[in-house]
Parts: sequence; C-alpha cells; structure tokens
Amino acid sequence: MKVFTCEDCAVGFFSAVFKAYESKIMPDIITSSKTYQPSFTTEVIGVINNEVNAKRVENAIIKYTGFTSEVKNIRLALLSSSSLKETICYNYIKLIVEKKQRVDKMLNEIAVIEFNELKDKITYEKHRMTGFLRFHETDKGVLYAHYEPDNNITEILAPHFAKRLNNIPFIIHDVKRNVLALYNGKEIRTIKSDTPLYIYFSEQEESMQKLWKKYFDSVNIKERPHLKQQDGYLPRRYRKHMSEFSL
Amino acid sequence: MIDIDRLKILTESAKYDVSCSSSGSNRKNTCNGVGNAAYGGICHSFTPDGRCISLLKILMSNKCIYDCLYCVNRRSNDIPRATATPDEICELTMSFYKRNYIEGLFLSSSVEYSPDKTMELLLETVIKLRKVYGFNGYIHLKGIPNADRMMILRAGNYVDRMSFNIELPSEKSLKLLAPQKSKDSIIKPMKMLSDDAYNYKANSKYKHSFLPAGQTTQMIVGASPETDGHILKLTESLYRQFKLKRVYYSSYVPVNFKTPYLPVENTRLLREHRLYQADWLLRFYGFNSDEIVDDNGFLEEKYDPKCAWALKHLELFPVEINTAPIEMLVRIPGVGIKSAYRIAAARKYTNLSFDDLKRMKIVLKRAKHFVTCNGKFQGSDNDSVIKTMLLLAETNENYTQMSMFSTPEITKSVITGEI
Repeated sequence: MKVFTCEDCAVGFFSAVFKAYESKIMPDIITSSKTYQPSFTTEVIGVINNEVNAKRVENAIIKYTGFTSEVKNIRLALLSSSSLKETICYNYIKLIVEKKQRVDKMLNEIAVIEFNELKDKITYEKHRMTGFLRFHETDKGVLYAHYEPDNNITEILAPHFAKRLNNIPFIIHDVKRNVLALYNGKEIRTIKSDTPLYIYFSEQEESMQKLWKKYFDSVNIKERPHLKQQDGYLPRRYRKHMSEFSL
Repeated sequence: MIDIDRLKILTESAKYDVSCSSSGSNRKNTCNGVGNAAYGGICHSFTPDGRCISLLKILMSNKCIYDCLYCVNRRSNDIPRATATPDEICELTMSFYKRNYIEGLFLSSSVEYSPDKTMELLLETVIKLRKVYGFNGYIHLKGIPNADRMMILRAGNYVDRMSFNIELPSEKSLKLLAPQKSKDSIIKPMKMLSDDAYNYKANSKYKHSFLPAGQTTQMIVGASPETDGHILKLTESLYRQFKLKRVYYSSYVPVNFKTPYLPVENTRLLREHRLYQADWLLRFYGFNSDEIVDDNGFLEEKYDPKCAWALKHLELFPVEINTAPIEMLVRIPGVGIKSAYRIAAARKYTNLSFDDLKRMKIVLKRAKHFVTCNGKFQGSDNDSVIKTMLLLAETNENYTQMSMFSTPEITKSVITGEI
C-alpha cells in the first residue's frame, strides 16, 4: 500500500495530487492526519507544498469540468475534520480525470456520494452556526463569540456576520483549533493564535443574557415536551457555548 | 430596557402562535444599518418542546377587549397583563439581534383599546425600528383585523411578512367562538395585501420593498367540527388565490377553561401531523385536496396521505425509475422531492439499479412496492401484503419528526416534510 502525506491545507493537498499524477505512483491514501499510523507494508511518501503544482491541478479540474465551482467545492470539503478528507477528494478528482467532464450530478458514483457527504456536513454546520453562535458585548464595544465547531468553518462563517453587523467589529474564536476571525468593521482577517485573550464584558452584557434566558424559558410550551426533536436539531455538544443553556 | 417580568408575560402570551419562520426575504443591509435577511431563514435555538426560535416573538400588549374562547389572552381569562412601548421593543430587538440570539422580530398584539389604536402602535414600532434604529433584519408583523386599511398597507412597506390569522376554518365556528371577529375582517385585508403585492411587483420601481416574504396564516384544528377535507380546501384556495406562503395549523389545546362550545380534550397530534403532510402534498407535490381525502372528507390515520393515495391507485404502479416523469416520481410513497430530483439527475448518466438507489440513500422500505428498476421489481404484488408492510414502515417511523409545530424552514426543510 502507498500513502502520501501532506500538509493540512488546500495547497498541500493539491501538491500531493500533482505528485501522484506526475510520478504515476497513484497512492491508495492521501492524508494530512497527524495521527495516521502506517503498517509494516505501507510505503509512506511525504509531499512538500508547491504553489505552482497545486495551481496546475486546480486548472486541470477547471479545464475538465468547465467550472471553477468544482475547485471551490474541493477547497470547501478540505475544511472537514475527517481524517479521510484528502482521500475522498482525491478519489473525486480521479473520477473527474477519468470522465473528462463534470461529475457532480453522477449521484450513483461512490466517489461523488462520499464527496457530497463530506461537503454537505460542512455547509450544514456552517448554516447551523449562523444561528447558534452567540456574541458577547465587551467593554470596548467589540462583539466576541467563542465556539467549537466540528469542522474548520471559521473562515467561511465570518463573512455572514460581517454583512450583518456592518460597522460593529467582532471576533469569532474557534477555541478548539485556536483559529480567530477578526473583523474591524471593514475587513476580515482569519488567524491562528495561541495567545490567551482577555475579555471584559460590558455593563449590560450580564442582564441581556438573563433577559435572553428568560425569553428562552417563557417561549417554551411545557405541556408539549419534545426533547428528542430538540436534541436532533440542536446537538448537545454545541450547547456549551450558548448562553441560554449555560446560565 | 424592558424588565424581565414584563418580558415573561408578553412572551408567554405570544408563544401559542405557531409561525416562527424567518424565511422568504432577501432584504439587504444598508450602509449604516444593522442586519439583513437570509432567504432560507435561520434557526437560532431550540426549546425543550422541539420548536425553533428564529424570531423574538412578543406582544406589544396582552390586554384585550376581545373574548375569543380559544385564546389565552381573552378578556375573561385571569392572567397577569402587561404592555411594552415601541422603544422598549426596538431596544430589545437590537440587543438580541446584535448578539445573534435572533433573526428578527415577530410582533403582534392584543387589542387593548381599539383595532386602529393597536395597529397604530405596531406601525409606529416597525417604522422606528427601520428608520431610527437602522434595523434591516427580518420583521414579521401580525395584522389586526378591523384596523384601518391604509395603516395595514403602509406596514407592508416596512416589514418582510404579514399575517392575519384565519383562526377557525369556517365562518360559523368563528361566530360561535370569536364573535367579535368576522370572516370579512380577516379575509379582506389578506386579499388587499395580496393584490397590492402583485401591483408592486408589476411596477419594478418598488421591487422587493413590499412584503418580500409574503403572507401566512394560522388556524386552529379540532376546536370546531370541520373535516380535514374542508380545511384542506380552504388551505388550497388560500395558496392559489391569495398566494399565501404558508398555512399553519395548531392543534386545539384547552386552556384551563370549560365551555359547552369547546371539546374537553386535546386534538390528537396525529391529526395535525397528517394535515401538515397533506399541506406539503398541495404545495410541493402537485396534489389537489380532492385527491387525498377519503369519502367522509378525512385523511387516513393509518398511512401518510401519499401512501393512502397510492393504495387507492395501484393501477398506476409500479413506475419505472429510469423513465417515469418527475411528477410521477414524487408520487411514489417514500420518495420525497429531493430524492426525486436526485434520481432524475443521476439517471441522465446511467441506468439506475436497486443497488444504485440504495447507495444514493433513497429509502426503499415503502417505495420498493411501487417501482421497477430496469424492469426488475422487488416488492410484493399481493395487495394485503403491501398494506401490512406499509403499516409496519409507518409505525417504525417517528412521525413527530415532521413539523409538529414549525419546523425550521431552512432550505433543508424539504427533507423533513418528505413523504
């Protein structure tokens, strides 16, 4: 068995795909997982980032499919937390190369099914977080939100809030990955940082959270409990960072 | 800022309104404003009753001059009363919105002095919210029956959605249970708004500015004797004639109060569930109300309405997955809109087999009795066996999964209503 290892980013992955086609070694697995454990018979080849090669793979995909959206979709899928993500995207690209056309509607192909599942999970989590994220007002007027999404969605989530909050600066903090989206009222920057943040809430913050909690409790119809549905729509793992559940 | 006690009172009085969706509007932010609307709607939280919180659902006042028998806020009911000012509502909306608690405001009110006075306060609030507070998020405003028509029309320029609640499915029941409201006081403004929305759309200058998310309504099921067929016919005409976006049903729940006019028991949730399933068939699946009710005018309880229809029309089945038109694919029991479109997309490239369908996660539990793949059939051709199998499929299904109340109207919601 042959395995390519690469860095956990789009350039790293596309570099590995380039290497596969260039060297004709077509690996069984491509992975960026730090915890990947090769067996005795596995041949592991490390691939170094190469912007130029990565771009060539992207261009080939656009040439075959006729759409830039396919590259976008692959980049999106690579935000997944799944350790199989690179292999699934690689299989998807292999199908594009084989068919020499767009394959996204070939919904009975395993490569397409697995790819769509990966991608849909990310879009769905992003959609959920546009609702479940909670901002806290700091003493400086900046809004601060902490959360722990399953996938690395901070970068694709922040623009949604920039459009809404407009002139109000905010910080979205993925505390699991130490990824932060910073918005100054004009532009967003996404960074990785381990530096601890010191956040002080504004005077009204606590009372607003109490009002929200009271609203949450009052709008519920006690005579008709349906916890199973609540759990289905709002998984418990997300509730840690939502004030109506943590107060 | 509004105090916590009044917030509690005004929320508890508003919570029985079923609608909470924030979908259907594309409103954009303005240069110094706050907020925009997401077309598919966004759910911000879920309460232990399984309902979504999308909007801040609140009454301006729960002091009411009316005495509608089914309503918690009726004059003769002994509950705490409160009123909020337009500024209090605006401040609360802005503070909640900024923190991403909500998608916008669902504002309604009891009629404290007169319909006009109440409508005036509601209108003042939404204009303030848009103009003074610069809010561009979603606003759903409840219309007040018998209020001045110019005020109702004016409100349409500022809010995303408006609703007048039908309350009860017939004029007779309305007279009995809500004598101060008349059919005309509800239907007329609905018609007026739908005509005006049409005029605005025709004139491109006003595009998107008048009720971009249209109108909805709500009626109580089980408080009065109307059949499912009657309710669905009414629903159908509301969709077709008034271009309503959504008709909501709420099962009647007795509110600690006995009267010979009202049943003592809760309406069974199964009835509400079947009505919502039928509503989906009307809106998305191309069915007519006449096709889905039985001879007595009721929906089958044992099977979902599409299954019941298919069992009555076994002569139309099985259909061939690889060639059937999409209008027929959506009529196969167990195949939803999304599945039908996936089948239609995939079969352009290849002939689909049962294995393909399984891999595509098309649920075949019910469908297999009604389809062939490349001429192959995997179901039973014995009618009574099919019926038993379908019943089993039904009991295994957790029917409460669907819209018991309001399901989140995200784009994905087509899945939850699939039957």
